[in-house]
Amino acid sequence: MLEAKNIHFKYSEEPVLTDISLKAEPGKILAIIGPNGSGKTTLIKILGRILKAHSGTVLLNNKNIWSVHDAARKIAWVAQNNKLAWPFSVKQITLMGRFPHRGWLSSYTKDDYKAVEQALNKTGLKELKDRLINTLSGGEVQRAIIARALAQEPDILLLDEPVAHLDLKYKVAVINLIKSLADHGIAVVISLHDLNLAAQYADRVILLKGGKLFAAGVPSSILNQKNLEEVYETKVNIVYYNNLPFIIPVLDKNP
Amino acid sequence: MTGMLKKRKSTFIIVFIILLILLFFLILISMCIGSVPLSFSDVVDVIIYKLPFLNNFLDNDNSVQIDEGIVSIVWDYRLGRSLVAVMVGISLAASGAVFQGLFRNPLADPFIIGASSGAALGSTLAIVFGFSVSFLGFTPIPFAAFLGALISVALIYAFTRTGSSSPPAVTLLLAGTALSSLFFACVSIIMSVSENDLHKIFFWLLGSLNGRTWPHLLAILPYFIISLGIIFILARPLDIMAFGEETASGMGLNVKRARILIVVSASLATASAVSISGIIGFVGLIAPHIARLLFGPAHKRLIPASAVIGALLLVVSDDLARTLLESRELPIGVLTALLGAPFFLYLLKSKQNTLGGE
Amino acid sequence: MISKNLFYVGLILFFITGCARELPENDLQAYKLDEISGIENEIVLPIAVEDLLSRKVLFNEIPARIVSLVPAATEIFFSVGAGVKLVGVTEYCTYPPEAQLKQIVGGYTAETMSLEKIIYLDPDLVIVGGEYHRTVITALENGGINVFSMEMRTIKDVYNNIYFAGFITNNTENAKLRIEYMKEKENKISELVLQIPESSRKTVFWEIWSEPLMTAGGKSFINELIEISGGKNIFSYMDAEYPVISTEDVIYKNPEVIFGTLDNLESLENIEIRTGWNTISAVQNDRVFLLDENIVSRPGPRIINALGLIAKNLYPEIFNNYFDGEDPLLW
Repeated sequence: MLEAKNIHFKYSEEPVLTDISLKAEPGKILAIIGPNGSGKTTLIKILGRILKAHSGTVLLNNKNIWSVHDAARKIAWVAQNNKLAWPFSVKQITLMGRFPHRGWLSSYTKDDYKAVEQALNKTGLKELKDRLINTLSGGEVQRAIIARALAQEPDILLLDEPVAHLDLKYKVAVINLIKSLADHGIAVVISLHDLNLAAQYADRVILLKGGKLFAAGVPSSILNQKNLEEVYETKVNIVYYNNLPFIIPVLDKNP
Repeated sequence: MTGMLKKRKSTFIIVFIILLILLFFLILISMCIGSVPLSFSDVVDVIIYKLPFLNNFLDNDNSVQIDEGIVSIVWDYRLGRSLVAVMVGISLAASGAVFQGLFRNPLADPFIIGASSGAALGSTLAIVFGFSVSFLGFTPIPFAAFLGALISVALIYAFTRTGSSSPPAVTLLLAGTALSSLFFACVSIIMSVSENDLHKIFFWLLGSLNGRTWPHLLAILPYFIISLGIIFILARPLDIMAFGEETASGMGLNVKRARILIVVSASLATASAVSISGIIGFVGLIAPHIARLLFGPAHKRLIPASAVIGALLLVVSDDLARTLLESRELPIGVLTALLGAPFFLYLLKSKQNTLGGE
Repeated sequence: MISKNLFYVGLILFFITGCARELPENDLQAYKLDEISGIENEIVLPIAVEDLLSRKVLFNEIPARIVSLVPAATEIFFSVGAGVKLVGVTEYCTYPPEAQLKQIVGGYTAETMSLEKIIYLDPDLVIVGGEYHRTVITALENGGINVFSMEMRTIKDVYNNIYFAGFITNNTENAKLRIEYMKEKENKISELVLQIPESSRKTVFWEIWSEPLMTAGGKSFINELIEISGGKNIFSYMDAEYPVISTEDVIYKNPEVIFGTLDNLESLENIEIRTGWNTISAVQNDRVFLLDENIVSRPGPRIINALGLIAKNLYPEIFNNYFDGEDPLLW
């Protein structure tokens, strides 16, 4: 599937990622968490063939991802901020997800339209398919972008902070969607800053601090007080509910 | 709420064909109007004279003696000129649409990375130094304008490259703006010390199709065909680039290749238009927006629609430029603005949601 | 204290108001230019003269240091023998050649004039063009310098200004001689033209610029030259000086003669290869003439040479008969 081995990356002389390795498995959600600036977005971009690591490799089905020219047929990357320059409709946006399969010139076929329909169904956007994207709510936009990613028919879905700016209702809807996609066999890698979401939904978690891999494993063992207080440099309390950890930051009421 | 006709392919094709037919009739009308009063039958006589096979369809007495001067007026200075207007309109509108797509900026126009300033400087230098080399069917000044436009774009591109990757859009835009200012400043300096040639330089800066006919059309035809050809295959990449360059590359688009092709094709189209008509503003900005408001943003429709709208706008503007005042010619840039702006504002008002941009 | 301040205020006001050289209304009667031409006697100072911008200019003395911002005016002063009084000219004052030995103070437009240089030359008279020199006029007036506008539009303007130039520099006799000489040629040309029946008058297209195509309209002095020479300017009906026109008008009106300037066109070929121009009578019959820009575009003393050149090219045999083969370039 998708594997990263010893990834190093820097912007000019600043090291951003140091010796990161991970593996994404089909049907599982891998959450990348850590404070702002810990390198989450950069890591997802490297996995998604948007940025190239300075050393280390990313392997897609055991091949170096940069030698796979139609990688977009297998991996779909969803950015943190999605603002389209022009008011396309949901359907048009989703159809663009077929680009990796058709290229610059080939006409779209029945298969392409079928994939679009499926993507729209999975994201619950069938009713909204002719709506223009600038008339949609934040959650609907996010789902539309995910629909586009799904139309690529990827085996691997990479999402950078997909629910960061969404209302509770849409947060839940999108995360549930992502979960169902994983349940259908897609390997999902998702960066989150909401620790509790990570705790609830991720099968595995990677905790970054300063670009280094601080800890990796299942949420219930990684998300403990010691790790979190060290990485986030603040006091937390952990409460357990249904065996899942819930992180509550401690607010210092007495100065 | 949806782009008026974007949904059904058949509707688009019908409207597009209607626009083409409209263009065709406008060109016919252009042949009938001008500062010289010719009758409709004069025009018909010329058409039959030039296209003798039409005699099979018309019941015409082809023993009429025809005045060569009248033939030249109708065929060269009305039809030829209108076709030049069509080509210039198409080139400017298509390259405007393409630059808007590349920069994801609704204010982008064909001159955004400096082509116009390069053309202005090239033609100004050629005028002032009496440059007299003709090349490939271009007369000296158009040739200098063409070269100037291409050189300035190449300079910008080369200057902003970082290592082996092609420069990101924002860098191109900023560098283009800076270079434009520099070149136009040079033009101003030259103008202030070359009082004798001021008229000619102004002509280039204001834009005009005065005297433009078949030789000019033929000179730019190859560049027109090449650039438009490339632009048409850029439809899908331009759609994808609406997501931003990172997502586009994540979707498998070779962004570097797309960027180079966009810059080359649009600059070539712009350079060839400017070389024969001077700098005609507004069309390259407005036509794509009108097209987008009518047909939606998908480039497969946007680019041909912009092209036709650009052609229509320019033919009508040119017709007015040469007929509004008795015997005198107005600068065409004034008319493209006078015609395009109100129409665009009207469309804008009725479709406020659908302008787009970052 | 108060009175001292009042005095200073009054002094400043006096200088500000007194600096403008335009004549207060109820003073000397200002002579119009054609009235000056009627003065047979020597100049009597002070004298007020109205220039072509309708400005009344007061002369208290014979000017000794003159700056000319108009090439035609430079030629005029030289032609009446007052060239020695010129201390400053423009870079376009190329005739006579001696003019270029003077100090150069600017180009054509007001922005190109170096006011510093003009003032430094300490002139008592500055000759300017028309409204396009307004900023220069205002600046010089404020500096207390006499400014006179010589923007000549007709032959009559030229004669009147030649006379004025002679008159004001005490060279009246020279002026008279020059004008007589010019009028003699002009009258001879008019006589010659009278011999040509209306139906044989040649139609003329005068090309000022090629890109854009610009011609001399009814309001230009070139139009007047064409008419005096017996030609019919195909664009004389246009109520403008130098309008931009379309080629189709030229082709349709089919002029028998085309005039252009060497500066602009460089060679006849440039006209002949133009699309559709081969249908024009002038091109077909080789009656396209390129003339020296400096002679035909400057309404000054050489306007008579321009007139001669035009007449000669329009009606060569008749002209040669009348003028015994004289070359108008040498007049």
